[in-house]
Amino acid sequence: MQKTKLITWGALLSISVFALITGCTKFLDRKPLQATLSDLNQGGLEGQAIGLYGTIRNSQSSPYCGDGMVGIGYIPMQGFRSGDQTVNADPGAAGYVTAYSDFQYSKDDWANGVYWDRHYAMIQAANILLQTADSLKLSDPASLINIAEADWFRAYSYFDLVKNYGEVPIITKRIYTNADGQVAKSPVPAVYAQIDKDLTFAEANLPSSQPSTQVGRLVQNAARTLHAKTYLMRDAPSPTTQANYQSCLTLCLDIINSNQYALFSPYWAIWKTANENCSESIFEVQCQQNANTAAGSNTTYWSWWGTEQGVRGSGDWNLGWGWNNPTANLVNAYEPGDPRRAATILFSDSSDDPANGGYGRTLPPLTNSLYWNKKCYADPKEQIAAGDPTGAAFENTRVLRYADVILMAAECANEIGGAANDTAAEAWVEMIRARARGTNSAVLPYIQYKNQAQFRAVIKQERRVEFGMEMERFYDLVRWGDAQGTLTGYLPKNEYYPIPTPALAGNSLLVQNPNY
Amino acid sequence: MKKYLTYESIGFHAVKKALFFMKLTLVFLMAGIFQVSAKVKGQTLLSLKANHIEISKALRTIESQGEYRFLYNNNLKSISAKVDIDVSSENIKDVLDKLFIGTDLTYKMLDNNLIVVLSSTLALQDIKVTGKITGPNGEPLSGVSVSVKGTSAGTTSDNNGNYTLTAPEKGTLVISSIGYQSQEIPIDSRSVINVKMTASSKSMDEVIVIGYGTASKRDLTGSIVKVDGKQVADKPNSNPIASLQGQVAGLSVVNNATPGSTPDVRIRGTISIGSIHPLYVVDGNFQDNISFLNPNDIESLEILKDPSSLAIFGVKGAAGVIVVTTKSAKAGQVSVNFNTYYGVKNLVDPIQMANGPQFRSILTQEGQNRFFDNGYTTINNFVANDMANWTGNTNWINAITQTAHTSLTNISVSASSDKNKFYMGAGYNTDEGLVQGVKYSRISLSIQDQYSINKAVKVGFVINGSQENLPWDGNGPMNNAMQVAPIIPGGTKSFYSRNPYGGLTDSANYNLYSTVPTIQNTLANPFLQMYANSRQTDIRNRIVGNAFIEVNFLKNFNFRATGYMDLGYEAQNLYTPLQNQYNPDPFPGAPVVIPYQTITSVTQNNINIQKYQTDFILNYKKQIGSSNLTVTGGFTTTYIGNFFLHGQIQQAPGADPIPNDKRFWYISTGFGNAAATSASSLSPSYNTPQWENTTVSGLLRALYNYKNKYYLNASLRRDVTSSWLPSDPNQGQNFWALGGAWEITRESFMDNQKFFNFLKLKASTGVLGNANTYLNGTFFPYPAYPGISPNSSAVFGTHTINAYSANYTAAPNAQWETVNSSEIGIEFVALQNRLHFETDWYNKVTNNLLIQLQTSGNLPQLTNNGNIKNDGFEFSAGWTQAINKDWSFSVNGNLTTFHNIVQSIGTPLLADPQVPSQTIAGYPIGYFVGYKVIGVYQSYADILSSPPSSVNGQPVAPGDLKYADLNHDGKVNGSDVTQIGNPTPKFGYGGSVNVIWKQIELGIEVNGVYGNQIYREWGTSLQQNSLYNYPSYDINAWHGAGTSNWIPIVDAQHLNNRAPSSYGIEDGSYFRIRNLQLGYNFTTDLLSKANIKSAKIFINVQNLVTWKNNLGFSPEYGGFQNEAGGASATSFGVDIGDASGALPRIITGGINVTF
Repeated sequence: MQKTKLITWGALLSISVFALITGCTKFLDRKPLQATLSDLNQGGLEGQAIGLYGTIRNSQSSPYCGDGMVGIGYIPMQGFRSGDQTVNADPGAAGYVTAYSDFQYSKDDWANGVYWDRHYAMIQAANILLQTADSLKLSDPASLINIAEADWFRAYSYFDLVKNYGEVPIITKRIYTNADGQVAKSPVPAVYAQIDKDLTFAEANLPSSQPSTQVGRLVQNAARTLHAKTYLMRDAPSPTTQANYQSCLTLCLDIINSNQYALFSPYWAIWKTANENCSESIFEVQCQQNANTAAGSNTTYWSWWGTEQGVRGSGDWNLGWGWNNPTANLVNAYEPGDPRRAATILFSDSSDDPANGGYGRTLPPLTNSLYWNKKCYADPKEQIAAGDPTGAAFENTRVLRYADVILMAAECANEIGGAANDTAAEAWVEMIRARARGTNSAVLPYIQYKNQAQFRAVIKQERRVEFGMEMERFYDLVRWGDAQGTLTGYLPKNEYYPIPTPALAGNSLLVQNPNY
Repeated sequence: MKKYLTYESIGFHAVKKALFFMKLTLVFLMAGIFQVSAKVKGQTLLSLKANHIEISKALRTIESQGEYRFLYNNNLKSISAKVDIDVSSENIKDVLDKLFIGTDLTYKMLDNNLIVVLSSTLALQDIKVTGKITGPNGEPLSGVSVSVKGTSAGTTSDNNGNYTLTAPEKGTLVISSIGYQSQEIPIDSRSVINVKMTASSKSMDEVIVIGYGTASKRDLTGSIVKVDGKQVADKPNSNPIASLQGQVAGLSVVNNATPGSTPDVRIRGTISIGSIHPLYVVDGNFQDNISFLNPNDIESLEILKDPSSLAIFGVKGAAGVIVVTTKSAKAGQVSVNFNTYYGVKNLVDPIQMANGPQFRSILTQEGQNRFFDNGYTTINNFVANDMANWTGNTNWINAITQTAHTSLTNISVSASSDKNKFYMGAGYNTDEGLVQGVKYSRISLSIQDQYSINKAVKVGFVINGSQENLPWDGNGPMNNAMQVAPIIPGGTKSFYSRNPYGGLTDSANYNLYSTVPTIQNTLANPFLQMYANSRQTDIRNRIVGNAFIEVNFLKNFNFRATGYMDLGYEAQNLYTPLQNQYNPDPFPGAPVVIPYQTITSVTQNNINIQKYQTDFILNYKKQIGSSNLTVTGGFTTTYIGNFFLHGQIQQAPGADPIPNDKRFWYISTGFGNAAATSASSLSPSYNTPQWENTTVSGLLRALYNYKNKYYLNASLRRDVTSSWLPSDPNQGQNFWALGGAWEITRESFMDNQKFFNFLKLKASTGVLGNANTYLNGTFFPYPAYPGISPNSSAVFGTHTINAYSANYTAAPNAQWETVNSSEIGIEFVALQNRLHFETDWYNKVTNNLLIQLQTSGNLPQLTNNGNIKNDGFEFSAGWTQAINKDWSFSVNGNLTTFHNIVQSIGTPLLADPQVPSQTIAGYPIGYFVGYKVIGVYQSYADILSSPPSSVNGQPVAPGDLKYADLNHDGKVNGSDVTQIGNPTPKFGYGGSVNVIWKQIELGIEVNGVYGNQIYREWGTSLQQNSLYNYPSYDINAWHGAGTSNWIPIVDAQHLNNRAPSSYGIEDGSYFRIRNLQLGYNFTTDLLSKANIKSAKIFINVQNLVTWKNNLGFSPEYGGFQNEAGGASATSFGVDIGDASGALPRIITGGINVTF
């Protein structure tokens, strides 16, 4: 009796336990109730390549590259060291004045850490695409374009890194584990060699133009322009060698002769929302104000570029955080009557100058900064309509302009010399001045070529005002060897920024830059 | 069985199961009410032969033979008399006559062969017995159990020691109470029986609820503290855990002043960088918190701390477990309890910010300092305009806070009979916050029933339902109140202006609040913000319940199957209203009306949570010779599903605003721009808006002892989780513990000593688990499946093309964190059972910390890397003594030491420029890193004679903080940062004193911590995005040589002073009179007239006085709330001056009546 009972109960229990355990595998198999990467048909390489254009912009989620490539990590690194740009509108940002404008570089500074990290994140994104292409041995024409795009973004990132830090680790393979990221620094020429390799491939494989539905996507001339810029920079802090001038000039001529670009007139109109991707545009970090935009919430297609630099007032003038203010140096750098001054700078307690890109509004007598960056001044009405006056975050960041190609060509021609080059240089500078001058013949007179030194000074001045507030000035001064004489507090070691502490912590082979 | 394994069917099964049990219970209840009636026809002849048979049994035998049915009262004395009978083929009358010979029984034949058996004398009477139960010194004892032997009838003594119950006159009373020897007293028809109890050391025999069963405390080898539900019922805390602060060794509770919030609870230190809160096991159901429970429905709370108790909870056990048992009916009659309290809450220790004149004076100073720095002031409009039009002198903290009210009303009914135990409770709780408009309320209902079908089978269910109205937290306005200038007028001013909701013709006089000065352009008037924040409703409904069946079989076996269900639904509706404000000082001109908010919007969030759990537990209990063995084996599964729906609409440009009316706080009302529905919160990222998680576990435990002298506990659990991939070798993990104990007082050599009544040595060790699903404060439901981000989407001109990237990579062999835990302890009872003492040493090493390993520039990798060690001692002691029949008292105290060190961590969690909490190897978790302040530079000469300083990349100026050159390299820079504080106390302590004098009870609870530091962010490293109000101490800031050697120059541009440093460090030690309660128990004579069993009135003061050393609202700062509402493990002890740290003094008065 007892035994039967025992057997019955035992059997009952073991059957149920067995049944439960065998069913567990299915019960435990839970996949996310949302898309993962493997659930998405991203169109292979094309999807990854498109991702690169978003990666360089976005600050909203991993890998947050926008923070270091257009955002608050980018602005002080590329801008505040120029003597022409700084931040004084934000009392909380005083540290950035010291760390960047006053050349008291800080290796623990947040912006520096972000700048380094996000550039390597961009490189990793490009490396992932390249690794995919490599493992699948893709060589069809469309894939070659995608590979060329990845190469371009990788070269763009390394160019930023090498001009800001000098020797940096070259990583061209996808990183899987922490150990893969332990890479020592390479010499500066090796970094440029890598850039040359990537851009040469990009120049050969990027299409010469893009369909209208993909305006702003990389083309051959974008690779040539970036490549041309790297030739001028690579001998810094001394002026470039003849060979590099020649290489740069050749690329610029290819671009000019392609007849794909024209300077856009008037000058101030380049920065208006309607003129994004205008005839002068070679590369922009593209943003969009999505129609489905609730106040400040849908930031998928936004960058912080405009928000960070907008006028920091109150009420209707609370247009942004006021980072990147023109300095008095820049304000005073323009020739009398140069319309580019009014197109570049907003003045506190003054009209926003409707004749030069204003909207007929008057700035209040703000004293936190007397000057503001007009190249990030979108129509406040649009912003207020979007429910977020400080949210001018949908303005494209103009990165490479045709005007830069023209002035690089002029600079190279002048440095190489020879009658034909001198004449060409003179004509190119006049192209820039004529566009700036517009219909007002009373300003910006024609400048005749006299000698190399005279015209070198002309070109330097022209670059300064043409690209005012556009993050070019510091690097121009460095490559011309002029930084030390021009920038207060600048020492030779300040060409390079110290490598941020978190980067040193994450890579045991990395050593700090000299003198930091 | 396969069907069972999809979640839908689990849900269905659980529902069905619950319904089935409810039906079953109903059927049994009906059966108890309606007697079975029988139809009897014809005259059958009966035969019956038996010796020494109970008459009732003989009647049943007759019933079984034929058509006769008997009806009688079981209480008839003679019905159980034993007789001999021998009849054959006789009719019913003859049989009954013979059967009833010699008894007082008669009978009466009815129709349908129904026979009523009567007694000629009265049946055995139930009589009313009353009495008083007193202790050894005549003091009344409350809560003593009085029951009738052999029945489930019983009661407990009231606060005056009195009891009343109905019992058979020949019955026997069993009187028992923890800490006293049980007594059996024959009633012998007495109606008054007074009992004097004698003390015993049997508190060790107290029954403790452990995981998957109960055990006597004596049989365990670990540390479990049992807290009576009474201790949390009358305290003014909506969350019961808040009432345990300082009362349990090893349990750290850091309170949060936001009503309805969960305190930061840690047991024996901080074991992880992610999930650290203990597991709550409510009647067997695994929960993350117990905010849904009414404290009055809690019978007991058991705090489990050691490996021997925790291993049975496997991967959920390492952070400690709080077992909550809700009330069920006690043996005895119907009892109705009503209690209520009402009280007020006040801010007692507000932060001192500058007042109007002080603000002007300090602002002028800052203007001058900045002018000196760079020749022009960067304080907006300050030089241009002296702000004379800002005429306020507002104490903003006072302005936005209120005397808050709190109340709780609760009624419960319990009843039990032989077979059924029933309990029902209903409660209503309101709790306001100190910031105006913050109010929490909760309605709760608890029903519990257990029914014994027969000796072998028992079924039952529990349902706890609640509705909570969750408040907004008040933190935003409180932060703003600390930051806005006191010169802003606090009140309103009437302006003839347009109704923001109306058209051109709606202008009228409106009372508007002032805006803030331009120098504060990142701030807002706190009243405007409060109004906007309070435009919301957040209602959470929850039903948590279970149903079980328990079967006893084969003498030693017990099987219990339980199905649990927890359904939660939360609806949040948030509205952004239009508001106008006025600017008292536009430049130029007279005051004007300006909009504060120009676009209305509505956000609607629906959160649907479903949890199911099944437990199948088999128990085997056997005594073999001198050995006692209890073995428990089990199988359990859990399912959690979380489904979140979010929508937002916004007023379209130029369209009508969404009205400021609750009717329209939904996304589909016809108002608002449907096209503007935001998708951002729905976009996939780390945290999916909907997720499911399942676990399957097996468990085994053996409790063994030899002669109640040597004890051995062993437990093992295997947890398999859906969080890791099936291909992961660590998808299933094993956890175990072994414990041993020696009860020395059982040894013969202890016979002759008089000191110890009980003495036990114990030790245990094991490996526990921590399912850490919070990484960097974010919840990861699917750690093995990296989320994706759509923000790589490209824009080409006006075209957008989506592209996605993964957020991290997952290691293929990732696993849950494991904790190697050990404990050694001694406990004893001595001096005639008056002194209780227990001490334990604990040591826990967390291995395989789950982290995101970060290589610069690359996707982080989710993997295991790092160790954390926690160790310390716990002491608790108590003395209980009754002096005479009027006086008795008890004193308890406890102290726990904490020592935490991060032994290694793959990716250090570094401090940020504002909050210096850092977690790196070699330091305690979340320690504060920064510079050590050695004074203030008084002059340039002082600077020149000191090591050059470049903190935050800035050279120093006179008035700046002087930091120590700790590495003596002749420079002050980033290499000189050091540990400047530790948020974990060296020790925490608490205690209580209870004194009873006749009808009056006085209870005092104290608690405190010692040896921790607080980092004050406000006034130090807080990044000011515009100019903020100053702490009032800034009036004494450095303003010239010799003026201060501690408070630096007032100048927000001097970044040197904003680096986290010992300037922001404050002593976190405090001592508090946490709770003081004075109660009066009414005497029974007074009450019995009103049919009241007992009644008590009381006054309770919480946080009566706190001796602290910091400037903040309170000395308690738990971990920053992470997105799931839990507390951060790595960033705590930081005073950001928000409302959650403003712990009020709460004075309540209440009554408690039992009918």
